[in-house]
Amino acid sequence: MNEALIHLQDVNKVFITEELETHALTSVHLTITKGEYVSIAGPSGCGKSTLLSILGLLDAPSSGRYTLAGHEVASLAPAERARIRNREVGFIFQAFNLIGDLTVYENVELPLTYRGIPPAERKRRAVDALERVGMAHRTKHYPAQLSGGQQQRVAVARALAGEPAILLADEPTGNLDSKNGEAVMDLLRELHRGGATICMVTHDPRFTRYADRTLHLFDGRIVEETRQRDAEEKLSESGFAIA
Amino acid sequence: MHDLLFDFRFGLRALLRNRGFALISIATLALALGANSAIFSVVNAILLRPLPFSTSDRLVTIAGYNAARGSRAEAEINSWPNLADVHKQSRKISRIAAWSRSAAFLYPGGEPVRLNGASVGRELFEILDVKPELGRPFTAAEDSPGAAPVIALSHATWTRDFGADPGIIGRSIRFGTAGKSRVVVAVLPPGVRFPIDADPVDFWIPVEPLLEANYTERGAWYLDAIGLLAPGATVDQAQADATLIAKRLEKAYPENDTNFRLAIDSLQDRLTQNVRPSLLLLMTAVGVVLLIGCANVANLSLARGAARHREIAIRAALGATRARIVRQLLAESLLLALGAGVVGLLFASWGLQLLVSLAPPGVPRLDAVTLDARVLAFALALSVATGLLFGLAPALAASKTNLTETLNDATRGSTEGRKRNRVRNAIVVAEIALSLVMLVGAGLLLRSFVQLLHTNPGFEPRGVAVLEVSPRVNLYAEDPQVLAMQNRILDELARTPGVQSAGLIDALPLAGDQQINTFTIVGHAPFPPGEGPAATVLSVTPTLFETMQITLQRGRPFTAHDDANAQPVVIVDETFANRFFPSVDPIGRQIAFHSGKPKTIVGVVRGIRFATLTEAPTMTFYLPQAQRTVRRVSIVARTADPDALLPAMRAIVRRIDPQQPVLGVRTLEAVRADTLAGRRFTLTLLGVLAALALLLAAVGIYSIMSYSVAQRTSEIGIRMALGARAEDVFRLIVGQAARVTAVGVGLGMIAALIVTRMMRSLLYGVAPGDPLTIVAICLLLGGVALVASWVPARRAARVDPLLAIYNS
Repeated sequence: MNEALIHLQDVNKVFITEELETHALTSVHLTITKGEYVSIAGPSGCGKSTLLSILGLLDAPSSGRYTLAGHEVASLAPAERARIRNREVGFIFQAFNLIGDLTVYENVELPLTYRGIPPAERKRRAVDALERVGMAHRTKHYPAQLSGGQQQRVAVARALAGEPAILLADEPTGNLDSKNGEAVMDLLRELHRGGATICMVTHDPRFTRYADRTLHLFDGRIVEETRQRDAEEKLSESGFAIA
Repeated sequence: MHDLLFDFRFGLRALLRNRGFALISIATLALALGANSAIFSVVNAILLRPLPFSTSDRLVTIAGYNAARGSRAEAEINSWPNLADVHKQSRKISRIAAWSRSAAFLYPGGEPVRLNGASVGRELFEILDVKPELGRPFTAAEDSPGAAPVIALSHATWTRDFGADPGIIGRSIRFGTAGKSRVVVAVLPPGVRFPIDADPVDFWIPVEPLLEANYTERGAWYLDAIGLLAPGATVDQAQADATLIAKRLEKAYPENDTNFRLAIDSLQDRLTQNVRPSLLLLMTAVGVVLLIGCANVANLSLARGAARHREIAIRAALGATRARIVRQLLAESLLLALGAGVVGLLFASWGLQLLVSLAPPGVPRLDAVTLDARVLAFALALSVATGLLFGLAPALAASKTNLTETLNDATRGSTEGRKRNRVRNAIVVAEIALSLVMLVGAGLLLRSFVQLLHTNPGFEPRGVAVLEVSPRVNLYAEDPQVLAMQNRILDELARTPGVQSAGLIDALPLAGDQQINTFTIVGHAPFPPGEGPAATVLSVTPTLFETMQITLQRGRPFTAHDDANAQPVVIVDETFANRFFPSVDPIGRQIAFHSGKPKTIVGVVRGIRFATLTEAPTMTFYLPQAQRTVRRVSIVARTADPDALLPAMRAIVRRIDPQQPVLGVRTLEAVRADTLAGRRFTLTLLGVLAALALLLAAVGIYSIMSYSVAQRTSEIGIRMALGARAEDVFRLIVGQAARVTAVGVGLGMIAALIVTRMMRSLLYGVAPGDPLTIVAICLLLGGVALVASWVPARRAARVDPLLAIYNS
């Protein structure tokens, strides 16, 4: 049996305001094993990003258990959450979220500086990550000097540099044209083939096919789970084929 | 014009919409503009406004000095014969009047009232172009030796003490401690004051009848002199002319006038020479505060401009030129500055009253300090300049907009760069640098002041009560009577419970009275003419040294046997002994003044700082009061609580002679405090301004860091998502503040090293670049910067990464 990297058990997330109680996630059970590529799909407002934020320790569940790489992380103190996030999670955002004042190299190196890694090791890892995404020739550029696709590659390199247990991608192609979107998805697929565990939120059905498994969220609940083989069968039944 | 009015109208609406920004800006600038207007009012009244005489621009002082013994700056007084020669020979000074300060008692209702006045040459009123309100000026006959005594009263004295009696002219009034009569010949118009730095001036009497033997004594220097430049003549020409005259006098009278020099200065410059450095320092300081205030408002405007990028881009898209946009934004700045100017004038009017009430004694023309038309014009001009200064950079920055980028919101994908922050950071750097200069200036003055407080004057001023008394001439005509009266006071005082000792001195140290005499040393080679040394000469009673705790180093103190019949004796100070008898005991040696009998040195005491605390002890001779009897003296008594003793001292004098007026009744500590009042005043004002500068700089750092945190929220969220802990973010923000502060401090230190050199004349016991002061101020500023960045940094450390990322 594959080793469980992420395990959510009966996770709920409720946002409470003065007037309203919003159930963003309800009784979510989820296990992601090491080396798996999972996509989370669903309409806007269904709780995809909330789930990803909880998975990435940017937010804490209102109730339920969350185990990440063997650590119980549902109710950690912020500092400890930051430490685990830094070591175990790599983020790829829809809006790339590079820091405009830092060069490409410095952006990639940034998460390593929070881990106290010596400069030489930081450099090795950052350069290696940039080479993996084909951006090693742009180390001294600033984000504003890059195209959207290039910025997202740098964001991927930044996520990789920390050698995290899992890459969390939130609509990674949302701000890209179709050509650049395809290129980024190819890059993620290559990383997955190299052994990376990926969890990606997308509302674009074209890209769910890259994943081993797709979780469908609706109104904060996982309402369906499809494996890639099932999906391909459905597609071929409908007259489409996967390239 | 219509467009301009439209800009102002729109600017007013824009400011009313942003009341918070407008109020903070106006408050900041109003404080700075108010301080500038207040200090300028003082500068205007004292340094800029002509003296209140129609001949103001032609009035000069004529002061003599001995180049071997003193400097031009110390020139003050003349002898009568020398003045008369200058009057005769000068082609550039058409009239000269000698004068001397005077104080006397008038008996308008029978009770003595002490009044201040001056003995003046009859030409004074012509020189000043002052015509009496009643009566006539002094005549030549009245201003000559042996003339019948006359007096001119001030308008205030006439109304206050004589009920504005219209028949005052020709009336005979009792005058002086002798209670002799003088005939009133004039009442001068209201507001006439000469000497200008005295307050009040109640009367004037002719000077020449008072000269007596000094009428012909070229070596007796004690007269001030004022002159009127000849039509068309300048001060420089008059100085050149006077220099030639002095040379001629030097040649003609080598015995008295060797090294004689004349200093001709504009009366206004001379009057203000002591306060000018402090006023200019304060004017510079308020200017710096204004610059810092401008920097703060410029920073706010820059932040506001950034928030208005879209509005400005829309204006540009609709066809507004850059110049038009700049004009629009400048109109808002000018409105703010003018508003602040008006509020600042209110602050200034309140501040002025406080300023004048706190001013030290001796500052001339303080009563002329008002918010006059020139001050209003200054405030208006400064407000406009301020509006342009803080408004131009933000206006230029805001008007430089990339339409496509702004209107299409093209800054997605990465956080906004810090380029726009560079201007803001540069402004804060400038603020910090300016604050540092101010603080170092204030710090140096504070250190000087502390040094002065710790300067040992050679006597112990604490625990000493002082009473000034001048036995009445009609009752105590001769020296023995004067001595007897003074000794009775001393005896009664010594018996008063709590009094440890009591003594007498004719001129109190640090009180401004000083008589300097040249002398010769018996057995010493004669000094070349004009190069003989001079010393302060004091008459004292034997117990004076014990009372003032002036240490006797060698020999003996005076005793009751050192009376008029005994061998003349003198006690010298160590300054004299070290100079003339460095390796020989001076006890038993003799010194002589002019043609008097030689006096034998019987003791050597420690040197005292007589004229000021800042001047090292100069040669001082003490003579027994019984051998050199002076009528007007200070009685001093040492006791645990000198303030409590003062009424008892008055009572003693009243018991001895109920009619005897007493003069200054105070503590010696108060006398010392008075000498420091000017420094304390400058220090207080500069300290307040430096604190204001520090506060504004702290607000500047706080606002730039707050703005930066708000601007970097998204970046901070990303960093936190990537694993930055709260302390990492805290360090990031504090580090940013620290870098800005470090650059500001570095530049400020360089500026302080340059600027504080100009303060040298105001410092004492501390060098302009004093490292201790500079390091302490750097640490202070660093600490303040840390505190100012603390709140924004904590706010940054609490950023919710989730909100920051998804709301960006």
